Amino acid sequence: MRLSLDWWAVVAAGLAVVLVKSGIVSRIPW
Amino acid sequence: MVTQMSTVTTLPVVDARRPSTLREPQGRPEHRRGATGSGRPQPVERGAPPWVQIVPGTILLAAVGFAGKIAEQSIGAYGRAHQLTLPNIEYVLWAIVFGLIVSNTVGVPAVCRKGVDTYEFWLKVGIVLLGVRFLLGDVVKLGTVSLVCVALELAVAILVMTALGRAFRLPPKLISLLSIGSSICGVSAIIAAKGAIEADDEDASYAIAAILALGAVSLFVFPVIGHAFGMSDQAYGLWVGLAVDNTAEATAAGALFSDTAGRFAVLAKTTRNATIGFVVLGYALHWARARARDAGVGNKAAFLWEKFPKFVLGFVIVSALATAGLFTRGEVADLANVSRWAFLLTFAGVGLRTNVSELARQGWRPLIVGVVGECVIAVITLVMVLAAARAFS
Repeated sequence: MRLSLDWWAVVAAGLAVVLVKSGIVSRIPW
Repeated sequence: MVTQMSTVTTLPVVDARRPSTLREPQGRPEHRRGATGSGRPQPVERGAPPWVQIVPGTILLAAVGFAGKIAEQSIGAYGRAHQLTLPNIEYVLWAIVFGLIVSNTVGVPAVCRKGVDTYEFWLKVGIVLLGVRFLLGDVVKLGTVSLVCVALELAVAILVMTALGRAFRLPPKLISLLSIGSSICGVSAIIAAKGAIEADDEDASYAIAAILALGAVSLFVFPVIGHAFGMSDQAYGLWVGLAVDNTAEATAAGALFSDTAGRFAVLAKTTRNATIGFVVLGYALHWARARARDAGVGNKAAFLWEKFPKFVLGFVIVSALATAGLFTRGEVADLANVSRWAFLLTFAGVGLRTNVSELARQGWRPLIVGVVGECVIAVITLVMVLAAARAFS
C-alpha cells in the first residue's frame, strides 16, 4: 500500500517529534 | 517520492483533488509545465532515483527561502543600527517575492522542477509541526468577556470577508483564504488553509500579501487611534489582538502603546491562534463536502474521509500533545524552528510556482476586498471592545 502525501507529511513530522523528544536532535537554530 | 505518493486513489474525480504537483499545466507554458511536460530534454530523470531528481530543486527552494530570511534580518538590523522604525516584513513575503522574480524572469530550470514541486510536502510537514505553537490552554487564560469578543471577532471577520468577496465576485477559495486569514492569524492560518482546501498558489500569494501589507500599516495607525480614544492598556491590547492578523505585527502594535497593552495583545492574539485547528478543520470539511457533492458519489462518509486532508489531524494531535505539556520549552522551540524551516522551503516554492500574469488577471478586486474588509473588522472590533470596557468598568 502506498502512502498519500498527507500521510508522508505526518510521518515526517512524527519523526521530527521523536528525534527532538529523544534528544537526538536539539538546539535547532532559526 | 512525491509523484509516487500522489497517485494513490481509484476514484475518477481525483484529478480535481490531486496535489498541484500533478495538475495539468496552467498559465504561461514556460512557468507552468511539469518536468515531464516541457518537451525539452530531461537529463536528470533518466535512470536517476526519485530522491536524486528532487535534489536540485530542493536546493533552489532553500536558496530562495534563505535569501528571504537574510532580507528580513538585514532590514531589521539596518533599522536598529540607524534607529529607524521600519515595518517588519517577514521572510515569508521576501521568499515569495524572490521566487516570483526567478520564475517570471529567467524561469525555473527543468532540472529543478521536480524538487520545486516538493514545496507541498514541506507545507504539510510545517503545518503539522506548527501545532506545537498553538496551545488550546491559552484560551482559558483570557477571561470570559475577552473570550466572547474573540468568538464574535471570528464570526464577524468570516461574515464580512465572505460577503465582500462574493460582492466583488472573487474566486471561492480566495474568499475562504481571506476569511481565514482575517479571522484567525494571518499568514499561519492561510498556510494551513491553503493545504487543507487545496487553494491555488496565486490565491495564497494574494491573500498573504494583502494580510502582511495591512499588518504593516496597523503598526502606525492603531496606536494613534488608541490614544485618540483614550483607551486603557487592557482594552487597547484586546483590540489589537482581535484586529491585527499577523502575530508579529499584533505584538509590536500592542507594545508600541505600552508593555501591559503588549501582553494583552499577545494573549488575545494567541487565543485567536488557538482556534486555527477548528476553523481550518471546518473549511476543510466544507470543501471536501463540496467536492463530494460535485462528484455525485454514493458513500459520502467514505469520500469525505478519503478527501479529508489527513495532515490536519497531525496538526491537531501535535497541538493536543503540546497542550498536555508533553514538550519542554526547548523542545517546543526546536519543533517550531523545524516548522519555520519547512515553511521557508514552502514559500520559496509558492513564489517559484506563481504566475504573475495570473495574479494580474485577478486585478485589484482582491486587494480592495482585503483593505475594506480589514477596515470594517477593525471598526467593529473597536466598537465591541469599547462597549465591553464601558459595561465592565
